Amino acid sequence: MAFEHHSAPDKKYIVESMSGGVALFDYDNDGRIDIYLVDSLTVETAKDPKAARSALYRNLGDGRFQDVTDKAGVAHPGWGMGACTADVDGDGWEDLYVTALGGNHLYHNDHDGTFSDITARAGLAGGGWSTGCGFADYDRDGRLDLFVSRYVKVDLENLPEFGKGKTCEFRGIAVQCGPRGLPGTSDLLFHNDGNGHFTEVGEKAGVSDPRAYFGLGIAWFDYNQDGWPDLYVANDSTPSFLYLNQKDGTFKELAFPMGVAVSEDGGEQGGMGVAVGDYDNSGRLSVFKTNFAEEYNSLFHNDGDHFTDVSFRSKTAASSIPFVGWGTAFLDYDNDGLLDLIAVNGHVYPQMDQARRGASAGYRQRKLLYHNRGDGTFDEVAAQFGSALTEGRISRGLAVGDLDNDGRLDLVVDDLDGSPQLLHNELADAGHWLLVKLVGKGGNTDAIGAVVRVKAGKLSLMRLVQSGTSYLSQDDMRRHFGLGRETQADSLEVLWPDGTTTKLENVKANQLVEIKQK
Amino acid sequence: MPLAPLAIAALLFGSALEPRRAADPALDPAVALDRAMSEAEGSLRDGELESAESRYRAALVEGWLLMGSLEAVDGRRAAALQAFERASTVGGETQRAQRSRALVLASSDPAPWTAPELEGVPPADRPALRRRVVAALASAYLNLGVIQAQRQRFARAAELLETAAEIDPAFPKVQYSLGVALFNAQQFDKATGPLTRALADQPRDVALQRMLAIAWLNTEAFDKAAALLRDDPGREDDASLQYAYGLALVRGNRASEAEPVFARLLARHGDSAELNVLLGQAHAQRGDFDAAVQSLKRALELKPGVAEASAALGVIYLKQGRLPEAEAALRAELKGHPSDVKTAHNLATVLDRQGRPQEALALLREVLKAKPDFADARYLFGKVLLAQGAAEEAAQHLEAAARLAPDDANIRYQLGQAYQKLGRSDAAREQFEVFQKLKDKRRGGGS
Repeated sequence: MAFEHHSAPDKKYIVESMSGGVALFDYDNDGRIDIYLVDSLTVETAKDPKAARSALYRNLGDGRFQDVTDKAGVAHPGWGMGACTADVDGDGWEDLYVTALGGNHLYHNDHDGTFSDITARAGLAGGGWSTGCGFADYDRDGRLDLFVSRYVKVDLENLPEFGKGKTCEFRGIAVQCGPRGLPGTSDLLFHNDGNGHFTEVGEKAGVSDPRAYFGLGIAWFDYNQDGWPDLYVANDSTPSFLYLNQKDGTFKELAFPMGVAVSEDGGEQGGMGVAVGDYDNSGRLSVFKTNFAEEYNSLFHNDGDHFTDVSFRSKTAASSIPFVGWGTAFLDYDNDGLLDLIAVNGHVYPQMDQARRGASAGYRQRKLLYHNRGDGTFDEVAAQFGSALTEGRISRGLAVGDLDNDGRLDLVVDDLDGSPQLLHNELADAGHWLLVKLVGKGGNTDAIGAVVRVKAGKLSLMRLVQSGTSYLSQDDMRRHFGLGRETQADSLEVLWPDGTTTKLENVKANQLVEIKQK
Repeated sequence: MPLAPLAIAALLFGSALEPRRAADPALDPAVALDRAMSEAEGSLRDGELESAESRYRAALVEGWLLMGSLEAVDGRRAAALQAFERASTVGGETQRAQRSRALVLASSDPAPWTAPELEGVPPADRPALRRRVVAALASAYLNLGVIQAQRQRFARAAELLETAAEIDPAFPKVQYSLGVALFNAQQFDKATGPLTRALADQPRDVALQRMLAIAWLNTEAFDKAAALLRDDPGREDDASLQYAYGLALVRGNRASEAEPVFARLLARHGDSAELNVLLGQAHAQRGDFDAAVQSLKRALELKPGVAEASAALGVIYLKQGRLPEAEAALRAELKGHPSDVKTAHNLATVLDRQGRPQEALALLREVLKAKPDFADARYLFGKVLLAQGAAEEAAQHLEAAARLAPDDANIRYQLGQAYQKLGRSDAAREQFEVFQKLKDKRRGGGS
């Protein structure tokens, strides 16, 4: 993989610091997860869309990847930010949506290794500075809709001057301006009209963000288990949003009363990436959000009727304080039946290394890997995995998936500067596992929004199929279950997005199970 | 940090009375007052403080009786009665005062009372007489205050001087004397007013300027203290003034200005534990934690247990998420300074963050016993209780915290969470709205 992410060396403008999503999806339906890495322009190259080259790598299945970008026609989405995937038209082939500064792109999968840019026809360009994205059938009409978060209003011809002004300084040294001090911008919800066209309904649906906060990572998930997808949006330097689906095409913003807007002390954090998972096997989905340095990453435990910030109690907060967190995921990396956590990091100011750092780490930052102890607390264990995790990098996007179908979850990280990382999981003593691929009926063939529950011995596990994960990224949508010593799942139940269920019993471990909705 | 009080300035002043009229003593109703004042001043000049004190009190009796009569003839019955009451209380002489009170009370309202001793004073001369009495009273109280100050009884001195200032705020030296007495009584918050007024009268009085600066420092008006000390001509040569200036800058979050001040202090006056503490605090404020830790550790090397060094280290470790180290440092500070409630509060934060809520609550109970109006501690107590599921009790403490610090957005957030847990959604929403408004205000508008 020869991909190089581009960014100006000094990052004098905020638009040069935020890019780098990565998507893991099987674009050619060969059963192997492929990789799409998003690249970005710089202020200097802004007028040359070909100066940045995003890349699609086909998984050849022998540990190697082939650059198929040019043939696929997905190299130049402009000033790329992130990506999410879904089979938008229900034809059984994964399509690709890329967010960007200056207009997003929907690449339709033409089933032959090529994609067509159908953005204009679909009405999904968005515009402005788009960041996070994710598909979900929020109105349960059987068609996938799309939410796009947006960040800051920028005019490339009139950018705020580096180091000029109160919000362009960090402890006395000149840095890029923003997001504080810059105007924010609204978010977008595109309703799928069913005829290949989408209509923007954000304001009508109540998710447009009239306060113009700085939107980044997003997560669709049904937090209250009423069968309707709700939405969480991580906002930078401002309170985050939790939108409750009111089942009538509208949402109610409840982040404050639900306890997921700000830190436990009311701090407005620099929210970046979001992960959703049932880390305590309680049957409820909790939220993990990465934040800026000298804050801490937030773990909001889902209590059923409320969320509680358990970041310090879970022992994930203190170790995260020095880092600017971005991509993140719940993953059971050792297949012990408990969801662990990962966060990839990297500061936004290259000037950081010359600054008085306070409690912050330098510009290049290591990753954080938390092993779940099973009692509500985690141990930070990155050092056990050597330089792959402890090397200082400027990471942004992170996606999790099983790239070699061996039942152990691998990681792909898109860095702001330079080459990405593909971290192959070679843990020798990992437990048994199951990988579950769902095929939904109707327009939502990925079964986005489906919940899979597995019971194996004493383990009671739950996974959600999501489009749009982590920081501007897309995880492998196949759901992975670590089973520890259990050699089979006693039961495997799928709650499909339309409310129907499928139940299997006595499913042998260590296999990929494909379940088609009837 | 406690500051050594400045030495009291000389406080002996003449009565500065208005020149007395050359009038027929038989017709002058203030003759007894004048005599008492002259005798008191004579005793004062002779250094006979007890005699002077006794004679000034006699003068006060005469003065208040005469003032009562003046008020009465002008028809101000309430003021007259109050003056006679003061005559009774200041001198122990009650007979004449009681008789005068009785006469005033017996007189028919609203007809003015005719005071026998004022019969020879034409109405046109009464204002001048009133001025003489006011001046005499102010002078008597002023000098009684000075006598108390000379006995190092500054609180009592301040009470007497406050009365002098109340009678005549513009009386010569009264603001100065009151300010100095209050300063020495360590009533810094009250001292700043009279000292400011005195400095306005005597802008070149360097000692007064320094006293006011120290008073501002002690009342946490750090910018005002720094402004006065910045302009002090003797600061560069005086280690204590330079230290005070640096302290004002650090406490006023102006660490970048403080650091060179401390560097010059170190260069000219050598290393000291206290200086390293302040330097460490200045480095920490500026975000240079490595240098801060170095200075603070140096301070502890020079003087193990020096105040605030371990506390500052603890706060740095807390900010860095190094919780066990923070706990050790904060405990070390509390060992030497067990009454440091701020450090105890920080330790409670560390304990809570380490998942030890019961220990945090126990410590906070002690803190709140010592300082019930400590808003941060009240907040943390409520927050920990809320996390423990005691929403009702938590709400009570958070409500108290919000009363103590109504503009603290984070308290409002936590109180909203408590109401939410109690099912009081509307009350919770109100608190969240206040939270948002306070945050918006802080950042000067929207996002």
